[in-house]
Amino acid sequence: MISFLTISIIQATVAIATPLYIGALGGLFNERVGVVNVGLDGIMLSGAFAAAITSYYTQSAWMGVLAALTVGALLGLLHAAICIEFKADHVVSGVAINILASSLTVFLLQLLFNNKGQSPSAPKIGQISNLDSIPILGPILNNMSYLTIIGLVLILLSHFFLYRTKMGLRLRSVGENPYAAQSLGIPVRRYMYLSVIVGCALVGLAGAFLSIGMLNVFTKNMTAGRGYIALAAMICGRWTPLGSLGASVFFGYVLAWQMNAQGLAIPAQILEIIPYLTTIIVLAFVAKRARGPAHVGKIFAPSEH
Amino acid sequence: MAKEEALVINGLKKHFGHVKANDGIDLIVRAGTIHAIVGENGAGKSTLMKSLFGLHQPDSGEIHLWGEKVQFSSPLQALSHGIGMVHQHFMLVEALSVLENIILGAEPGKGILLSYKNSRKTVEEICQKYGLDLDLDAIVENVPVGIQQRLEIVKVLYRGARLIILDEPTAVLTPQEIDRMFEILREFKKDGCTVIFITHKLNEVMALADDVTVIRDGRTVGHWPISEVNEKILARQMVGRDVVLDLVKEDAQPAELVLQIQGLQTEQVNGDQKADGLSFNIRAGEILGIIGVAGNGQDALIEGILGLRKVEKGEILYLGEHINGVDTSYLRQKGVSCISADRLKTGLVREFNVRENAILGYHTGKEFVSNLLFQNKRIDHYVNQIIKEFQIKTPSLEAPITTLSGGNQQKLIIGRELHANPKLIIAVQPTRGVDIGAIEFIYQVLLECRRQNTAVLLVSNELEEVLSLSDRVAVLYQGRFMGCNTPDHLSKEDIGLMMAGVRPEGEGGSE
Amino acid sequence: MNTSRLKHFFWQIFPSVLAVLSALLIGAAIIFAIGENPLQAYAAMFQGAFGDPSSWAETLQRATPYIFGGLAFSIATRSGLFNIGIEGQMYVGAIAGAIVGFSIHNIPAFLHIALALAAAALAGYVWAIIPALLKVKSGVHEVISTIMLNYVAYALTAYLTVRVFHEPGAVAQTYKVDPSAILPALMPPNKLNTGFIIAIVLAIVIYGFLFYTPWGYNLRVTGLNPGAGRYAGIKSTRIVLRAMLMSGAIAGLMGAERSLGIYGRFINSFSPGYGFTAIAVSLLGQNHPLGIIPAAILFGAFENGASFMSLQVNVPRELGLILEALIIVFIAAEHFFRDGLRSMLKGDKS
Repeated sequence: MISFLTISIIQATVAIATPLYIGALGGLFNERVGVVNVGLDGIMLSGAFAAAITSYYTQSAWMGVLAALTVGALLGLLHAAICIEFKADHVVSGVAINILASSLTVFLLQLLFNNKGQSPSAPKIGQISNLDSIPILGPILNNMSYLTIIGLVLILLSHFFLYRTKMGLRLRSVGENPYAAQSLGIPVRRYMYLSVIVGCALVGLAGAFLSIGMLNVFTKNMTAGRGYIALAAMICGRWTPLGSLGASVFFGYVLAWQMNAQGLAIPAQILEIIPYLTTIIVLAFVAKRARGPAHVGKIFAPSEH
Repeated sequence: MAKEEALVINGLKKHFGHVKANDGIDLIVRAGTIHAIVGENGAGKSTLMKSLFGLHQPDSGEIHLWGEKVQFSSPLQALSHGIGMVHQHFMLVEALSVLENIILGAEPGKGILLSYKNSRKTVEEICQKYGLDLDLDAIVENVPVGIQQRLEIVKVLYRGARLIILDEPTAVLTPQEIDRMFEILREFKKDGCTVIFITHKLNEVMALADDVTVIRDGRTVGHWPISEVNEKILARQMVGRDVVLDLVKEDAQPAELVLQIQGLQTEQVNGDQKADGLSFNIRAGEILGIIGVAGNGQDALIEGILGLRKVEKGEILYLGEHINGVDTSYLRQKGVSCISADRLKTGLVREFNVRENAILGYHTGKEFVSNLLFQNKRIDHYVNQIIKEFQIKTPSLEAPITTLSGGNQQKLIIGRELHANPKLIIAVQPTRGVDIGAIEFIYQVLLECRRQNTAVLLVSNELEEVLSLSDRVAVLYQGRFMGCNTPDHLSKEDIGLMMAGVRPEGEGGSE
Repeated sequence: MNTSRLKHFFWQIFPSVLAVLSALLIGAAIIFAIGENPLQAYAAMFQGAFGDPSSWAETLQRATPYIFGGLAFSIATRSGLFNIGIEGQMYVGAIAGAIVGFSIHNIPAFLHIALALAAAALAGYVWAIIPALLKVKSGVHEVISTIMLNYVAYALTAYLTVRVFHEPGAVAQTYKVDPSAILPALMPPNKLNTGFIIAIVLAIVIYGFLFYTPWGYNLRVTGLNPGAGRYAGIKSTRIVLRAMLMSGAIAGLMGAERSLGIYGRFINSFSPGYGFTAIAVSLLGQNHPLGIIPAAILFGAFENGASFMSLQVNVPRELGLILEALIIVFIAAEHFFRDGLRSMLKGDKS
């Protein structure tokens, strides 16, 4: 019998959705200032790697989180420099980051641990515990990672920031029409740099959850396309924090259900297809109506305008 | 106070590589006056204003504002010195509301939070004072261009600008809207503001300005109080020689019907105005001019005829053949050619060289292809021919198209489109952004086409151009014709009213 | 005339050369950082890649999928689509070729090979239809849809390998392809095969197609300025669809070269990321069919040389992959180099 809603599915949904909505939020901070970032997957992978090895060496999961944020921010700086300074195609830069991340992580695994598959196990980020006594919510909240909660807080803060603050309005204007923003004295490039760097740091954080939130180890190419699913969640969520959260929970549910259904009569390989196919189908319905920031993916070249 | 100089510029230079955009600009603007800066396309007006506004840093020269020497490295500094600018291409965030656009970058209140309440009141007061009507909650992309311009002016006022620069502000307005705008600018003057008005339309200079400075090839040619000059003098100063835009135009000899359009209604594409029941005919040897404010269905009409937009209702007959929904490439083979509105968007491929651009749209023709391959010798021969015939200045056939001036790019397009002896030419804003020499040339070419019995559909928002070239003029408003008549039966006032959607009394409909 | 051509050529390849040199420089820094001698390592790398005919053969063997993949990527890119799904299209092509290879018996070799290659191209083609249609009809960005389809392809080929055509062995693999469907080797015992020749011929054909035929012209216009193409009577959706399908078909051939030429069967997840590295190859070759050939050989040399190097000095052979990744990072910043050096040269003159 296939079940669709059990405590374990809910718990898995939350766990799987966490890196997706944190990652989608990171992607959103890229695209809201007009920078497409298909390098999300590679940044997530690098974040996962940095978190695992830092946590292993320092024996502190929070140091791992810090390392993931830092590595994410550095890759964000690289992406921002290539897109803004060198005026390169954003997609090319993203692909470069993905390839760099997947080869560099394996290279370093080999160099540090003489093992191309995975890192040694490392301390995990803490989890909520001892809530068994609360009915219904208790079992769901139990074992929930602190990062999940932090992610939710970040979503709410970002919503508030984007729609209720002056800086939020300015940031949104940069992705819609940077020339207009510039003509009003808004430091467009500074907004772009900062937003991309912060966004990518968040993506790194999403990666930390993969390696030391959900598991306690880094494995080769462990993102398995989650960066792209996060990107899809951002699009389905219409480039808003709350929408991205909703879409991520949906994708999380599909993945959780699929994992729950393993071991049934359906071959595992066919089940694996489901989340990816779902992403495509959802996008097919949503993409036409979803309109991103007007200047997304375009080069900002004030002197030629 | 009023006699003081608001702005003095000395020997300003700005070069981009080999291009000397500004090469010695001098400017003196008296406080509390309206100062016009005129010059041809490419004379360096916009570059000058960008330097002044902090968008460029000049290579050399000095700028004195209110007696103080300044050098702005960003628009923020210009804004804080009381300079406000209405750009030629509007600087609006389309996805945001009118109010958000006005306050953006100068949001009221001390904290980090947005507060619309205070700002709304301030903005409403400004609007009331100058009689500028605005729906503050409308999303900008749904607002007509005329109103967007108004929004740009309110933006400047909201920031308390004392020196207001307007770059070609009348291009998107009807004659009546232009008059209204002039009133507002005079109102500013009364309040002690200084206005710099950049234009290439000399009648507007004469109507509005107190002083005028003429710029040519990046240099200041001279400046005068308006009482000492007239349009003719200004035109000569602007171009550097006498301008005779006297067109020799024989009486039209309309022959057979080339294009018949009956009740054309096109599909709605995004927010674009659709054609909504257009009917007209064009005969061989005739120029039909269509005038209207941009965004009133021009694109829909052109693309409907060319088969680029779905026709929902109506008939299009070309030389008696139904052409609803046929391929553009078929029409091109059958002698329909198009000089499209935006050279670099729809007329040319920026990354291609002259040769590759010269065959665009005709590249499948037997003339250029045999055995499935391009015949480069024949192509070269043809390109050299149009370069010669249309006096196109280019270093070589391999030169990237962007190394040519706007006028030469436009001539290449026209040469290409006329090469195959078309029976119908659709010319959309054929003189946009080109210098006077090229404008003269293009007018001659279009009149020659008319002599050669070609039907010409001229779509433009330059009133003078349409009136002087066309045999009949139709006024387009919200996808419909407000009227159609010969130019001598239409006054500028009537056309202006029709462009704004008002049907003047006693005016008949279309044919 | 001749000097201006030469100048043009120089400016065209200049960013690529600079990107390679910059990557090698950073690579040297990495080697130095892990305590080895960069010169020694690079010498070993060169020795391993081009030292003797058999190392040449291995280099070209490794370059072959990159030529196919680079061509697949470039043709989509030239029409304005970013086909990041070459990997998946390659997998379905590889298994389709293998299935024809082991399912049909007793027909002449040339026919068998032709059929298997056709099946592979068709499979890649079908795999590319989905993102192409999604792009044109629903506006789904091809980067996401093709990536998702890569994962679908991994799972689908794994299913076919493990559950349907499974042959027991050390790795998950299908049955062996009939000898008549095997692409003949060029320099045995090396696995370099006629697939390499096919790739070179394909590059030349695509070069002619792009620059000497009206169809290629249509494709380039569509990629550079679809708006101008529209007014010129070029139907961009049709062109984009066709380009994507051609891209998919070439990716399918890329897979078949591996299954029919190297392994003689389909092997589950055989690719170390050929489809992604091919993107770097195409970019390094300036998306030019003839530029892709040297770029692919360079990448083949990196990988072949790096594994030889890892035996000589204590540097992991993933260094080759890192060099490849660095190259695209530098290629991405191409304009910076090009414009920067140009203005420096001009500055010197004046």
